[in-house]
Amino acid sequence: MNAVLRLVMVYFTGARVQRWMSLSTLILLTFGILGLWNYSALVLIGPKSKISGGSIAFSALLVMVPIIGVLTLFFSAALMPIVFGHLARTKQLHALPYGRSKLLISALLVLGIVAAMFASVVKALYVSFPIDQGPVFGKAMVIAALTFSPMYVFLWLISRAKGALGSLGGAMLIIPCLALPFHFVQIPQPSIRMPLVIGAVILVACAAAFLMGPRWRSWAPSVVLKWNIPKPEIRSKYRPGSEFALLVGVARPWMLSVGLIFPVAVATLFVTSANIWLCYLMLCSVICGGISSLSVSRSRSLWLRGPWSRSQLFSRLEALHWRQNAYCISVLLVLLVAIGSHLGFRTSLLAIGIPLLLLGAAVGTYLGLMMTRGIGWLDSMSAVGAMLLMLVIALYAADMPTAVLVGLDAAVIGLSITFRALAQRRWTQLDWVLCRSAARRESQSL
Amino acid sequence: MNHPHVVAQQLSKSFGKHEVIRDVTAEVAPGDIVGVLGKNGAGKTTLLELMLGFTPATSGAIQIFGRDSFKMTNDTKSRVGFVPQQDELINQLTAHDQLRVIGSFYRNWDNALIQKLSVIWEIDLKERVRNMSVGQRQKLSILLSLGHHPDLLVLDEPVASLDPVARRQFLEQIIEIAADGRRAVVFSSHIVSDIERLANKIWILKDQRLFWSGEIDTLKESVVRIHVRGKGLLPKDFEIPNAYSFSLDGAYAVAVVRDWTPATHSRLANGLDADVEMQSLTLEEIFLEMHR
Repeated sequence: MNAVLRLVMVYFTGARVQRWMSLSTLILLTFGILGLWNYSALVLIGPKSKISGGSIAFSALLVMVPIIGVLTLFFSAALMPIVFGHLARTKQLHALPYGRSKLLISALLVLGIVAAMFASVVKALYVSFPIDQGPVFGKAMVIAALTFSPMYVFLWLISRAKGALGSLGGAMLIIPCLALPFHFVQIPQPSIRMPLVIGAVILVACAAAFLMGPRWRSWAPSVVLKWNIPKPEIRSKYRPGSEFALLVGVARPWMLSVGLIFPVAVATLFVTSANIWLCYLMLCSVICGGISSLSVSRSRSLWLRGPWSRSQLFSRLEALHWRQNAYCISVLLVLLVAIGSHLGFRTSLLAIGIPLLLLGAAVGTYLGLMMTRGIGWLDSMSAVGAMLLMLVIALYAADMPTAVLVGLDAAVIGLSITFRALAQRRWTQLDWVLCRSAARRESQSL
Repeated sequence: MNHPHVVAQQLSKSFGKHEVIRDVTAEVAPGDIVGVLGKNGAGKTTLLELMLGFTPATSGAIQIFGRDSFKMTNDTKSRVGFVPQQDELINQLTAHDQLRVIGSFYRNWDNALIQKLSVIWEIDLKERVRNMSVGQRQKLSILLSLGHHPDLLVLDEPVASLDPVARRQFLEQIIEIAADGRRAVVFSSHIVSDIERLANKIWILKDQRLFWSGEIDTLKESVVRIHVRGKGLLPKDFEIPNAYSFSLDGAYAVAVVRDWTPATHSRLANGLDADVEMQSLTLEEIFLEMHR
């Protein structure tokens, strides 16, 4: 039990930023749930409000505080999938008594805590509503567990992503994460039986696979020999002239663009809304562009071997990534047109999609090339700002006046140009030791 | 007169408030084989990376072939070979293709040398890099740094993953490289015996500073263990100057001292009326004494 609790402590307090987040979570949730319990939103905004004047604003605050608390709680345990994934792959785990079971229990405990807190907030939110209070907590808990567990898997995939495939896998998971809970919430008389059964089956299967993994692996070789299954291997053949691209990992841009088809195909099972599709394809274009961040540390091997200064390396890398982007954007545009035709999107939305995908790739590429050292708060804030602007365009473009749309596009173009200028300036003083230490920190945290 | 390949002057490097290298002044001349020694985190890798222009100096300067290492020109780069601590090989390629990729960057790539060394070092060039053992990958990395006959070879812990036979072969190759007197090798390693066997100069990093630099033979002559056997009890307040370590037990004292000279020897023997015996130390013993 000690080991489980110790692991849970590490998940919530392993890094300095998480300690602060955990502390904030504690404060936000305590005040948030108590506030909701005592002054429920219904009473506050109803005709018999106990608080006069400004009660709507106060009500909004009461709702916002616990919701922000749940979000910070989710992210304060962000180390869980990373530590879990790392430990699960180590040989050390075999040597620890009940290592796998304890690790699994600790992860489930964290998921349980996060889901229970979310359910408590929901329960407090609806405590004064004239509805059957019995199943509220349970339903909210199931929905929360269903939402947060794949989100943690998504976080793990993103943290592991050393290439395009991991990033795309992570992006692919966003769709079921976002779509599944809402799908069940939207049902008029929501029953949690189906998601509960599906969720439980998936959870038990995953837990069994995790616990039995080593045994299955020991059986696997004999099965492979018996069936004579050839081991798949991604081969790369060197073609003279592609050395630069090969060393920075963008020699096969078609591979990434073909890889995009898979997550988009999966998303067709869940997404029908035109705006969500624009969001998703824009996200894919940002990820394709963002792969440029991997080239920064890889470019070190080119420094000693070629005639390029740091600025020249930047220019060549930029050109190579735009070549890769061109492949990806072409595929995404074809997919957008195909999906749009199939689902009957308006032509104006398809027209908005073209610049949006280009802007997504530009923002992703230059943000990636800016990552010549650890990510600072300014980088994070500007990245979040650019993403928010593009999300607004994708979600509300159809109902926006043209002038506003053009203004937003111009703002994103301005940000892209700024990111490019910043990236170019950083590259003139590029310090590969800082790149490497940032990369090492990431790999150590995996 | 031969100009030094590398000149570092009052070189310092910090990452934020964390100082990694402080006030290092050193040179690498043609024909030198310089061994860089230091504990973990002493700044060996950072020093080598400063030399290669991977990172800018916080203060001071480091020049390589007469030019600022941070702004190396193509001509300078083509004279440098580097083996990183962690290899930068492309997993999906075969060793042969990997060599062709790197070889394409150099005009004077010596395929014959590569073929010869790959046979001697038993590297299967048809093998895909991802299927190679750590030692094989290390050998391939070293091979990649030799193909263009660099005038300056910089190796960051190159032999850590090699077996004794491969290590010996590698060391022989390094000696061959430096034998013509034009070329120089700088390498860091934790295997002190290799440095002792191979290097003619040594840099010892301690507390972010270049604690000792110079000829390895000079170091071994200057840092020695002294056994003092008095005819009676040695005085309790008796001290040996410049001692790294010292212990006194009645009529017998033992110390490891630096800057030892014949004059110091006779002064001590005459002053105490004692037998003073000098014992040479291995490089590993000297290193350990310096870090007591």
